[in-house]
Amino acid sequence: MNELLNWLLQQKGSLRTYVEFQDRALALRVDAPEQAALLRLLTDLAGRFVEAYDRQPLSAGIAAQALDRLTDFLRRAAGESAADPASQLALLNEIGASELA
Amino acid sequence: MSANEIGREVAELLFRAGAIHVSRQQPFILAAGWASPVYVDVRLLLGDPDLRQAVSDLAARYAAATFPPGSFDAIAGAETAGIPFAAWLGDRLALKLRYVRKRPLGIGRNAQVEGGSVEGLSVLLMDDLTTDGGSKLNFVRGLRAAGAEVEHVLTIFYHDAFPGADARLQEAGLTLHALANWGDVLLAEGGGGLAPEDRAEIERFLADPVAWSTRHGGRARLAPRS
Repeated sequence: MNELLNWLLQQKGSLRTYVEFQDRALALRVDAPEQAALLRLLTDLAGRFVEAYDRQPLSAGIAAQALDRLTDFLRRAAGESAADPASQLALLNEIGASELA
Repeated sequence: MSANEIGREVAELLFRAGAIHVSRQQPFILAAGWASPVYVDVRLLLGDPDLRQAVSDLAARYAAATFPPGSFDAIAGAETAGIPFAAWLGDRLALKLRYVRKRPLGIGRNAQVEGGSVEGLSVLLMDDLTTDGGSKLNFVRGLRAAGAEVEHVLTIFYHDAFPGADARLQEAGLTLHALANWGDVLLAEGGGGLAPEDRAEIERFLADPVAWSTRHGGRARLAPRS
């Protein structure tokens, strides 16, 4: 998870970032099956953003906001991996109810 | 009709459709990460019957002047906006029509190409817009994996400000054909409808797009070729 976070921190946040994020997150499920639900939710979150802005004008402001949001979720997810089940579930539900922009 | 004349006419159609958007306050972030003050929504040509017929006629003229008869068995539209343009051009050229997804479906047949087999067919890939060519390579990979022979890509507009697309496509054995590019937009008579400040911003951007992108928080250089 930290490796994925470090990669994301180096990205500019264009749509191609989110497409690659999906590939990386889905691949990570193989090595981290205990995080499968979290990674699936993050993948879906990134995918909805791609669908929403595919060939749409993506302003720098929205791009920055979306990248901040995804980074925040991923940072919290990395920190919550050792948290109690209730906290982990709360984060999953928050991601499930969120959009990046 | 020369390619330059076709380019000017397509640019005029884009102006008539309101497809040329300029933002001097906040740049657009293109799919490949470049920052740009301009965004071209080619899909606006779809909505008006006169405009879509006109651009399809121009595409057919370009194809007739560029490709010898019998060059292609089929035309494939790139998901999503490439599909209707491919359908209209396919009608004019009497070609089989296919479409290619951004990704394989992931379930069932795991198909990336729809509309029938492309095994052994010479296919022209069509899309509405090209920036760095990355998505075109992805579509071509899908077509070739399904057995198609693909050597040419036709796009309505080529956002040719940023370097590298031609070279990347050539490395993959592809030739990019664009009906119009930025040069055509600036030369089109409809370009007179641009506000002077917008035209000046476009010219500043086109003078050094990579530096413009870097200054405005976008990508700063070409990715290394893989």
